[in-house]
Amino acid sequence: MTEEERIVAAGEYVLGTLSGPERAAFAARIAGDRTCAGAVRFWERALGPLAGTTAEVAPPPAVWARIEARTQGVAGVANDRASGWRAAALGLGALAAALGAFVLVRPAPRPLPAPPLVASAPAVNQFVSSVTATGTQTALLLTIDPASGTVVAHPVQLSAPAQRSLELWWIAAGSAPQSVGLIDPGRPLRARIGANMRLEGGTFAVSLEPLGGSRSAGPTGPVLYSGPVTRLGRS
Amino acid sequence: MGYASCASGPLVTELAAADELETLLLATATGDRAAFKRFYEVTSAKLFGVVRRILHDQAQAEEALQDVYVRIWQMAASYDATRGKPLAWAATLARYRAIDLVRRNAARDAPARDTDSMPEQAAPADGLDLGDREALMHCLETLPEEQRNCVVLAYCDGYSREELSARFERPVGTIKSWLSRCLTSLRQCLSFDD
Repeated sequence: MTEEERIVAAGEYVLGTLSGPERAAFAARIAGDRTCAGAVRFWERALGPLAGTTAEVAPPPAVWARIEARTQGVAGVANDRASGWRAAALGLGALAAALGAFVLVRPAPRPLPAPPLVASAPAVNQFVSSVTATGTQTALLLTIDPASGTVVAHPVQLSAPAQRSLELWWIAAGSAPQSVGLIDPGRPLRARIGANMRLEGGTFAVSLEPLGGSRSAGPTGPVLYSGPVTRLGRS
Repeated sequence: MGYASCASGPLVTELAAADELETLLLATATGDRAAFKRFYEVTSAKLFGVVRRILHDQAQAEEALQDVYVRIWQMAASYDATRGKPLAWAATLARYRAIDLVRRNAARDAPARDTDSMPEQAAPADGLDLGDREALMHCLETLPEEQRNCVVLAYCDGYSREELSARFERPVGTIKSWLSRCLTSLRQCLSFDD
């Protein structure tokens, strides 16, 4: 992508004029590409004053009542550090915010181990996985197209170990780990895990392996990062 | 040639200072519901205006507004002041949400607004960054009028390329190249210090 193509794509992304697939593709690109993310921020800031000129319209009072109901029992980011999974989900939310994608944690009547994520991300029927070390920070963000089984792994916060390799594994529910490929912290990895695979309940994990990857069928080193697969799209 | 703006009706300009909004957002991040409510009271008419311009369906616009504030409640702690003032940040979230929803509708009604006439006056000041606005207005003025209107209709009213094509009676390919040219020249015209 040339500088000019990036400026135009980011501008159209912020304007909202990209077509559905283009929008999804660009959103995925922002995750692994700081320059693209910077271009989006530029346009958000540059065009923002136009939104300021929009006439105000008071919403009906019932809207606030519904917002109050929806936020009851839903903790914000700052006061929910204790729950690892939820914090991971919100870490993904923060990233999605940076992308302009929408990830919401559904209000739950009681704390759940894994609150469902509801999202209206640009992509239709897309699966993501936020792969983390401690549950607090996304190390790797994956988008998975269920039909083709294509996985794109965008490194977010990963460091390259000296004389070792980071290997990404796909673990379908109840199955043995399957190697996806080696992670280069500097660039996204695109790979196939098999078409029409059952993604729900699956996990992605990154293990530390000898240079060039595991010599055996499964991971041989410690698992540094892992995360469950989440389905995006209105449920 | 008038200023490009989203304005199409009376503007309410009494808004809390950006500083107050930052304080409210900070308190919201700690779970302070009173601060969140106050943030809503101060900002909701602006955000609903943004959303309502793009989503013509009242119920859908209300749903979008709810989504945005649930999101603000969740994300208040990750608000980053370097990415813009609180109102600009919230308006960006509102626009993205409205665009998401409007693109999901296969077809929508033609906008009620008469888009032939752009407003002749610059909108008064509000909680958004003024310096940036002057620069933007200046740069928008340098674009050919039809092309400028394309950018404004896309941004303010959420027009898709297809809708712009119908509005200007030009092929979608022409709209694409207009947008591309506009964005390239806006980028050259605008420059921020950071």
